[in-house]
Amino acid sequence: MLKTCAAIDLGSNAIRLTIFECLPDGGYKILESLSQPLRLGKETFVNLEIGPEHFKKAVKIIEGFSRVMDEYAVSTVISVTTSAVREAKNRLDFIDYIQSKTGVRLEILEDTEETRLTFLALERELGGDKGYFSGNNLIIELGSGNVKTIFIRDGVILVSQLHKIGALRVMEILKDVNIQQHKFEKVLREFIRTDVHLLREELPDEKLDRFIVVGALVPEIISYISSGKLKNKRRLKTLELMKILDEYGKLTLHQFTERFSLSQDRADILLPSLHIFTGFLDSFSPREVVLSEITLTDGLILNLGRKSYDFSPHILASAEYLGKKYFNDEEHAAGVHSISVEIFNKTKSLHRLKKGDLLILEVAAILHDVGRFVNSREHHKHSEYLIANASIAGLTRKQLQMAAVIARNHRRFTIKYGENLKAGFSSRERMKIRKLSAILRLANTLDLGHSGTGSGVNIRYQKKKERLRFEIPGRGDFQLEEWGFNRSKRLFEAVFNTECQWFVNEEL
Amino acid sequence: MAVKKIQWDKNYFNREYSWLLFNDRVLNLAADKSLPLLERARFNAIFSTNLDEFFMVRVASIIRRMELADRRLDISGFTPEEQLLFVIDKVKNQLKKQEKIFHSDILEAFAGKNIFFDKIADLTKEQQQFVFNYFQERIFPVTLPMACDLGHPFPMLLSDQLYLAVYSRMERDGKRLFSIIPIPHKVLPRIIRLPSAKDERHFIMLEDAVRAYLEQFYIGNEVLENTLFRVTRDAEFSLEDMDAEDLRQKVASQLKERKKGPAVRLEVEKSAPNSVLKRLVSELEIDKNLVFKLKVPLDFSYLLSLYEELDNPELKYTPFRGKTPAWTEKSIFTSISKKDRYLHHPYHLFNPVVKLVEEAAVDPKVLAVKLVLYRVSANSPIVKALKKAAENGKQVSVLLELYARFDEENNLINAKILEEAGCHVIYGVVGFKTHAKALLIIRREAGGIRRFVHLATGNYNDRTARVYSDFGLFTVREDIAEDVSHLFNVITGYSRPVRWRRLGVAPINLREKILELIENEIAKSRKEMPGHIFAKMNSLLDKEIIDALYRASRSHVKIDLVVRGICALKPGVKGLSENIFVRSIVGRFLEHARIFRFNNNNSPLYFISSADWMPRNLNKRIEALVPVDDDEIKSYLDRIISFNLADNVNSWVLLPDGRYKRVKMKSGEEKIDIFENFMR
Repeated sequence: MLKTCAAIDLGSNAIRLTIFECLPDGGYKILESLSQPLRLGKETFVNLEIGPEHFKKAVKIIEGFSRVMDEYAVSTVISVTTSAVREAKNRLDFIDYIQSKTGVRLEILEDTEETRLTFLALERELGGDKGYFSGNNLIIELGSGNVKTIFIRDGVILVSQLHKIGALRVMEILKDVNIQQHKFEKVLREFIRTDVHLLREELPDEKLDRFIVVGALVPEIISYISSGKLKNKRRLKTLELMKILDEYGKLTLHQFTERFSLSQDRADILLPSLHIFTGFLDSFSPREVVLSEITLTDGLILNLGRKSYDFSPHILASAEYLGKKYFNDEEHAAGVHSISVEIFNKTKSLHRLKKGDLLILEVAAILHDVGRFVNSREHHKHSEYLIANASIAGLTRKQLQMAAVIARNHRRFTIKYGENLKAGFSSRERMKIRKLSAILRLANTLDLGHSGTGSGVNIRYQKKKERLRFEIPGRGDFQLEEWGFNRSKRLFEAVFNTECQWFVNEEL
Repeated sequence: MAVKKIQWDKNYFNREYSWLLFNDRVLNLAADKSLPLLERARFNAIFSTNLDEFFMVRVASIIRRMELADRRLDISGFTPEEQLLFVIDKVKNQLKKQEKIFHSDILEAFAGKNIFFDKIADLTKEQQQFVFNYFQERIFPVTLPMACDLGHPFPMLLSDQLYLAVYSRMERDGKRLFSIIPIPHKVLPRIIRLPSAKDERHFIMLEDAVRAYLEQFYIGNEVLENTLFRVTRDAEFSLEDMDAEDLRQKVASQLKERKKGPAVRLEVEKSAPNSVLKRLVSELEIDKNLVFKLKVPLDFSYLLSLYEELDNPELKYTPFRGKTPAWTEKSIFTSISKKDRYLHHPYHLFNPVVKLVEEAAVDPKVLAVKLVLYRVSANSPIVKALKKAAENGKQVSVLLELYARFDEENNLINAKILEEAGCHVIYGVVGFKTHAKALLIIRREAGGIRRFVHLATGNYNDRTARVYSDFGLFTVREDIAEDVSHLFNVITGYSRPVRWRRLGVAPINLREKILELIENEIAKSRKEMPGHIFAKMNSLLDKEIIDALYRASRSHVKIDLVVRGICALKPGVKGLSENIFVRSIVGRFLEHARIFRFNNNNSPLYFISSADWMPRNLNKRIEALVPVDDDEIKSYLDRIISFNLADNVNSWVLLPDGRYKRVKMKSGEEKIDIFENFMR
């Protein structure tokens, strides 16, 4: 018998329930899609708190959802929530309340996880042979609180970011500023355009092939302003779009509301969104715009069925792109990266860590030197905060912080555990940091001269002798590396209780 | 009050007038000597009960608008005042006609069959004694005169209740006393069967028995005069600002109130003295125009009881019992799993629908049952089956529309039964009546979840399914089932409308969908290859759709409309609607199915629906338009359509001037009776 599952997504404007069946081939079949408006975002983005009314409303909706789930005898429920709860100060009260009243425990998704899930769903819809992912693409998700962007090149994520310029948030910010009525729209436009322009600077300075727009706002705007003509069109030429968008971009909020007979609430979201979207179009001028109907739920469902999906190529590509942004020594980074992976793989029986941990080590290895961008002196400290404050889709904040701390630990004897970042790690996590730092430190020494030494080293783990042996080719001059090795092996030996041996192999 | 010839609008007929013409067609059945006598009497009663409802709802609405000084014009360009004038005028004419039909025609025919409705003076001694005893034992104990004097205010007179207004003289001071006696026809039969000779049947009206011994209520006083009368009151109530939670309680209390709304009609017997009339008009605060002086008996609904009472099969239609199709003999689940199925009531029995719910109640694979109940019969077998399902641990959700007009009382009782059995009972969406007919059963099968759907044009009411002609569709098609699940989520308030894959749903996109279908037909129609639309419904009033049909007519689309009741569209007008033909079928069964076919360039699209094309249905009700995909069912619908258009026994054609002309068999033409045909 097939398993019936459900996904609940509590977003900024609505709460959605999807009931689906997991098919034997790994696919899924949607049985029900429910949605109820719940405008948490408006409250959180302004007051930074969810009000008591919304506590009750959310419970009432979820109770209704539970009834429908009962009708399908749902066995697995994934329930998540995003920025509107994530940003609320009383988020834990809210989540506990919902759980106590309905039994549903909401998981707060991090923005990078959201990005990963969105990407998963998009890749299924548009990726692969479908051709939409070729070349340079910017995925844009316009929300009421945030705008998310993912830059992908030939299907691989390079940069993913979250910008706090969602329509609702922008309106609230501007309402606080005392702007003369007739200047409001002008200020709104400029405010948005400045922000979008700055954002452009952070992305690769390359011609964009297309925008892939996720979410319902842009299709809704396009449907209105084209009087329904472009309602169901999913692929549009930028020029054709700009023509109609420009005309309406000049309308005041009042005119806009009247023109499309909108409610004030809706106009408050749609007009700024229109400006945000045209701001993006102006700054990037992509060839075409593709509208996607996928939602976070699609990603959640896919994620459930595709546990084995390997996101690491995207994570590593994003890390490399981040390194590039900070003028990383790419050769050294690549060298340390490959030696780290090799040590990790050769010592699996020793450290007993998992694939996900390797990914953290890899990111740390690629980025361990980015601090040099700030200053070579104490650069390991600069690396730490640069990495910790980056955003890499597919890595949780915790994982990124671990990578940052491990990168920091590539120098100096004392191991740090993110004290500066105020990152609280569990003992288990601290253990991982120790192990991975020890590996990174050894890997780094093997390419101390930044000369790519590591490529010739043969690493052997001799289990019976409890010894990790680094066989160095006899023909080179590796004095610097040997000196460094002897200094840095102490951590490895202490952590793993295993001897590290520098062995010059004349035959290599 | 004479009304000049009405100047109808160029493009639309008036709603109320059109409805009155429908009732005219019903009255014509009462006059139709080719029909069995008791059927004619029944149609006579239906004409009257229809008219009662018309006053309670439509006339009441016109009056309310007049009181609010609402000067908005209706679709045909009339103010409420103008409408009231021609409505009253038309009703008076109809009542004259009814009087003639009943008194000099039906009554005579009854006499011809040895069935007599006697006056007290006509009775034999034995019969008089019988009436006296009946009065003493049955009538007197339950009848209470209400005096109206300085010490007793004028009583609240209930709608749909017969009264006698009595003037008596007090012996002690010679003063005239006005009092009112309710005729106890709610607790006693309206017609009293008298002992009669072997081959004869004699009846006396309850009110005549009361009048015969009226002095018994006024011992010591002299009864001067007495007048039979009846009041009809506004039956609508406002639903605004009501919380859904209180709905059940509110409906219950409003039901009591309904009988006390403002008076919208006063029927009095012809001989009513002016003094009585004046008193009633002033106490009821009713416009004189709304007073109807009629020959007794008032309120013909008793003829429906007479129909049941008389065991004279020769005076009725040949009895008919619908069939059950062969596929219903096995498990309904299995049958529906194989292919889409249909039922055409009353030619098919309603039992398979009940059987499906009964099967669901005991099937371990069934997880949930959901159903919309609009008009439910008392002791409904569907309700019993739902109860059983809930008791067996199924998730049962029932959307019970409490506001199904005039059926609220039954619905309240059923709500209680269902709730007590553990069903989840929802009382509809505030402000919107749920009129869609839908049943959804969720079943967990080896291959996964499968949803069984029944969608229909008629209610889940086994009784009306015997006399209403309706169509029901069973399917397991995923896209339709998904829409039906979603429909339930919307009406239970669990979700806002997200998207519809196949269904048109009012008030969301049903009108839009119909307009799209009409526009599609226009786009594909050429003079040499004209498009075709067939649409069958109860009423057509929506201006936007009518205008679209006019556009289609101008684009050479041939349009056949079969509209039983109100039709605001003007057919056959040159330059406007010359390609539109409208007919109305009125006869043995109540035509109730909504069926549509759009030619679509010779790949016809078929739909059934719960919705009439009226603003009320498209804006204020939850309704569904359901596509039919199965070829066999499409062919059957084709058959229904062709009989609708070919019938020459029960059909009327709407003329461009608004009159309806009965379709007559031409000489040499074969008799085609739609009802008989499907009964075969």
